[in-house]
Amino acid sequence: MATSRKVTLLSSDGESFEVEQSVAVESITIKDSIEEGSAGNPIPVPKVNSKILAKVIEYCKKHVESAKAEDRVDDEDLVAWDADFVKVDQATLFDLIRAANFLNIKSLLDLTCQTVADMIKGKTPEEKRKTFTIRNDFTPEEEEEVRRENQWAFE
Amino acid sequence: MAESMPEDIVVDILLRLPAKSLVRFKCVCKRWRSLISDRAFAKSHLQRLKAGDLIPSQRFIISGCNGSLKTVDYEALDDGGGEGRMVVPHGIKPLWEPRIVGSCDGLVCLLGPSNFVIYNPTTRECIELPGPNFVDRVRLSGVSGFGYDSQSDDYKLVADASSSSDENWKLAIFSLKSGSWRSIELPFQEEFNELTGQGVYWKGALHWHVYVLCMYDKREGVIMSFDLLEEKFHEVLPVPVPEVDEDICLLGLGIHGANLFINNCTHDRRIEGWITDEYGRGASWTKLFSVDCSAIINLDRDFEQTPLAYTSSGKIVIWMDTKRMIMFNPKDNTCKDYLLGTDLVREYAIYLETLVSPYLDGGAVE
Repeated sequence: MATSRKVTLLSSDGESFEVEQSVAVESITIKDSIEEGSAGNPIPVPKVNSKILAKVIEYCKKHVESAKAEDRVDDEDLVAWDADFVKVDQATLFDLIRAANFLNIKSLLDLTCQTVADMIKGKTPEEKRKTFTIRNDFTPEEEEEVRRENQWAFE
Repeated sequence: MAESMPEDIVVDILLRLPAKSLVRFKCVCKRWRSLISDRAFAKSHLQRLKAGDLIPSQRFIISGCNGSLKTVDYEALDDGGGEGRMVVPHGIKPLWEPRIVGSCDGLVCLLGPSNFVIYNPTTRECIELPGPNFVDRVRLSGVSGFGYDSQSDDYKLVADASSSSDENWKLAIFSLKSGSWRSIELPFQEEFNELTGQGVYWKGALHWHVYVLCMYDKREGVIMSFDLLEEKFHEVLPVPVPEVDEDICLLGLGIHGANLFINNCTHDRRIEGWITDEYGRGASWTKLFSVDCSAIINLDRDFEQTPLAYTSSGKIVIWMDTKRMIMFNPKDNTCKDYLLGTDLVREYAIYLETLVSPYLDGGAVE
């Protein structure tokens, strides 16, 4: 497979990114459309704006490079790099999750979902509602009942 | 913003959380409450747990003589998290001096004065089982155990139902799925004399450490199992150290993460722990730790100090006597004492924090 082949990705807000094919096919979605021959050139990536697409490409590049390296030590470095990569604001993190899901990049989805899980692990339900901007649809009585049933879990 | 997050992503994130957190998060909104209470979700959560490192989700439950049950979170104690975070579970008040029968997948089986109870200490769901109607009562001193049969996707409780008049050995088996008891008879084997107490559930079977007679009237320690699928006994594993000249005394079986755990003490007051992941004559044991107990003061010589767990930082949790346990650090030979409360602690079991519901027959789950 000619790894020096390049493809162009077009973000939802019209920006073009030229990347190596080996990097682009980290996304199963893109890989499939290239193999089916249905990908145009540039390949449009709807739903993912340029800011997020740039981050996703950065992630894929790093992981493709690491896979080539032979040093096992790189594993730890990669883990540290990943940890830094997800130190972003919440909105960006959620956008990354959506992008990883749409583009079908399993390792990125894993990383971002795990980050959110670790973030919310210790929070109270109220904090979690804020994090996910979830509307509390319990009536005050219902909420009281649910809390009471699970009161011991908060101790 | 987040409301447009696809459901399967929300589920993916929730499945990564520890069971304890998830119980709390039932309060967030109705969607999450129904998600987290869903049977299939609990099953997926358990599978994910088993695919990873089990140790952070392991706790042990202790039962005291006044009917109290407590959970000991020894990893939390290990982190130096202040005073021991020991939680007293509620909701099972009818039990008086509960005997712990066994634990599997986060469900703990207890024996109360009249009935067996299946309890999940993490979700606090509890059901009382009907008694077997073909025996007056099961022999409390006999074998018992609780575990999972993957083929029938059923949790089974095994209890000794034989009486002295029986020629064969009778076991009573309760299936959680069908909600009923049945009995099986096994032709008597020499080894059955040695089988006693709760079996440790591991890899689809219950395990006990027994002595069997082998050649030249010598006795050898082996590990026997009761396979929950076949409902038969087998000799499945050798023990890690031969008991030679009473210098080495094998104490008990337990669980460490995904491994079977056995401990022994030696003549020179060492306590050793071993784990294995294999079955069969050729199975090998790995020594987890070997500690010199002479460093520990206030040893109650009438009580068999039992190592219960090995924490992620390499400390050993030892049950010292009916009132306390210690966390022993082999790196600097120091110990930290933890009082277990005013109840005299009689029994314990290691369990996993899961969302598995004991109501497997479709009973009420909120």
